[in-house]
Amino acid sequence: MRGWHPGALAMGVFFVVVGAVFLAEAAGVWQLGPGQIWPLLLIGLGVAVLVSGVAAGGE
Amino acid sequence: MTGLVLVTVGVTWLGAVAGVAHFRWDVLSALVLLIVGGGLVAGARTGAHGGLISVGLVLTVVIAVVSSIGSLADIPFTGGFGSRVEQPARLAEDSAFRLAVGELEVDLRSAALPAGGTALVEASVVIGRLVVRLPDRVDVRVEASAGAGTVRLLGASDNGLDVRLDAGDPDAARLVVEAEVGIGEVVVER
Repeated sequence: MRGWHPGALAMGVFFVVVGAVFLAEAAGVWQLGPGQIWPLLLIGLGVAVLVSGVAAGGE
Repeated sequence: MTGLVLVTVGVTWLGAVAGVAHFRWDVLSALVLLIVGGGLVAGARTGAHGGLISVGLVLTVVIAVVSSIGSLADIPFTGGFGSRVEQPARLAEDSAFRLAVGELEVDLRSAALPAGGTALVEASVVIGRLVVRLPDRVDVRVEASAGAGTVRLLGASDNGLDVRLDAGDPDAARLVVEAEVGIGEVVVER
C-alpha cells in the first residue's frame, strides 16, 4: 500500500458500495426500510475506518 | 477532481430543473455518489482528497434522509424554483403541475373538465408548499401526501413523516387530484 492514502481509498470504496446499494434500491432490486438505512451506513463507515487504519498500519 | 464532481452535479441538476432532461433524483444522487467513490479510489495515490470525501459524506447523508422519507424520492425534481400560480382554463384527461422548490398554487375552480370523462390532475412540490383549489359542485377524489410535513385536506389535517390523507368517492369522481409534497405543506381546499 506504499504511496496510497488509506483514508481516501477506504472512503472511496465506501461511497462506491453505498452508491451501488442506493442505485439498486432506486431500480427496485430491493427495498430498504428507514430503520435499516442508518445502521447499515454506520456499519459501512466503521468498516471503512477499520480498513483505513489497517492499511495505514501496513505502510 | 472535487471541481469536476461539483460541475457535473451542477450541470446535471440544472438540466433536470430546466426540463432539458428528466432524471430521477434518487438515481442521479446514487450515480453521483458512485462517481465520487470511483474518483477517490482512482486518486488515492495522488492525495487525501479531503474535499471529495466531504462531498461524498454530505451526499450520503442526503440520500439516506431522502430514502428514509420514502415518498420524496418518487416526486419528479422538475418545474423549477420560486412561486407560481397555475389556473388552467380546461383540463385534459391527464394533467401535471410540478415545482421543484418553492410555492405552487393550482387553481382548478374555473377549469373545464373533459366532456364525459374523468380528469386526473397530478400536482407536486419537492420542497415547499402546494395549494390546490377545487371547483364547486364537482365530485372529486383527492389523495394528498407529504413525505415530511403537513397535509390539510378539506378541513382535515395531519402532520409528521409519510402523511397521507384522502377524500371523496373514487367511483363517483369526475376529477381526481393527486397532491404531493416531499418536504413541506399540502393544502387542498374548495
